[in-house]
Amino acid sequence: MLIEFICNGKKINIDVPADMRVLDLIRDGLGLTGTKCGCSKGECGACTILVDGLPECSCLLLAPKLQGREITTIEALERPGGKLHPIQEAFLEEGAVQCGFCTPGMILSTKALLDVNPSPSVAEIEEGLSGNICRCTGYTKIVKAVQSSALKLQGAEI
Amino acid sequence: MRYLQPETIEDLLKDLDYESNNQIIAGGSDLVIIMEETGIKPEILIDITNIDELKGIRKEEYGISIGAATTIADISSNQELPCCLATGAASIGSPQIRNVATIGGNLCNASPCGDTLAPLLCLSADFLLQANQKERWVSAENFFIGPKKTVLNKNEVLSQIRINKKYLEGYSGFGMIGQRNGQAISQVNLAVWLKRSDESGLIEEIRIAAGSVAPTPIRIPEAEEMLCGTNPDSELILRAGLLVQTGISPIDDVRSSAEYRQDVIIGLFYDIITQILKEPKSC
Repeated sequence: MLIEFICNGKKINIDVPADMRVLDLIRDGLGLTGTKCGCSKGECGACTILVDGLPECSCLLLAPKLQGREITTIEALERPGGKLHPIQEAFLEEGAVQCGFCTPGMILSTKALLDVNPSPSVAEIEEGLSGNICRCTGYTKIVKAVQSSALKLQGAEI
Repeated sequence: MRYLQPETIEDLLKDLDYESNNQIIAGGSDLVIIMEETGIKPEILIDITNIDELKGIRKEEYGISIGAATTIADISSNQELPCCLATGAASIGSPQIRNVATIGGNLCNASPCGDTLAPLLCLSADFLLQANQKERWVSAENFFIGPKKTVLNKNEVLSQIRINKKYLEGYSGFGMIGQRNGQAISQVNLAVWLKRSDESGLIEEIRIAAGSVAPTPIRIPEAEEMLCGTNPDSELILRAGLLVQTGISPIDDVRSSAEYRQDVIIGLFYDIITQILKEPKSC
């Protein structure tokens, strides 16, 4: 079926099977492989994308649900000149990335959280990232990276 | 596979009536996993999330009505809803899941561990089941008939959940035991609603419902009777907790043993009741 949606600011018209998952559409159809496939059960959060600004698991979404909506994948965070987004910088600086497989999802959940809550408490960060599982870092550095992201983004606004 | 996206209830009911081998999809957070795992896919999926009438929480004369396609995120953040329902919703899945999962999906999936089931049974909710040219109200008590089984017919849709204003007064609480806070599925969950007399402070009415401890969510009338008309101290709450323990019939399964469920439910019950009595407005 034909669907129309906006992906990372670009209008997409594409013919998809009705039972295609958004995860597969993004990776195989659009070639945006920053979004990862972890568990395929909505439990690990590696496939997180933003749909109309809200984090959702793209492995649980069927493509027809994108009709008329706007999605953001990790690729959209790149700044002009190939520079990293402040959240990405913070994750690198704090050592919050090891194997990196969970990172795109972590960063998008962080963005969704900070978009509505610019200076979250540790408990709010833990709740905001509770749908993203990391098997390397133990989360301490990730939480620090979110706090650092919050400061960077506030600084950028001033 | 065909994918239908009706925009009105009327069109939905016609689709349900005319199209055979159809399956309703709301958020899809359970259904898509089942489809992927089994490879079994219905001929027609009918997506109900574009129907505005099925979304939102409305105050009305009767009490409060919740559209079946309202997301779990919207339920969990709503201040008008009784605490036990909002807290139950907040304990489901993760932010990603709650943004798509719906209350109707949680109910129709009818998993005994669903975290909105016990709260709605506790709140004596009614469900509107609609079919082409027909509709009926079914109480939460009668809706669930077994694990993953409800009274919903093939051509029916659960469209609305209604809570009587009586249950918007009084106070309620919810608790669940899971293996971690995020993404955990309940090993035991429990909802309590109670109303105290303005003058005496005694409990005038109390309803207790438990999930994940029987084939369907269940009430625990013996414990309700013990606490009704009292201003319970710790000892009485614990004695009622023992009745909760004997009132459930859990099984061993992948998430937990029956014995563990029976052990933890007493403490869970104690914590919820104590919280409601001491800090009724903390929710």
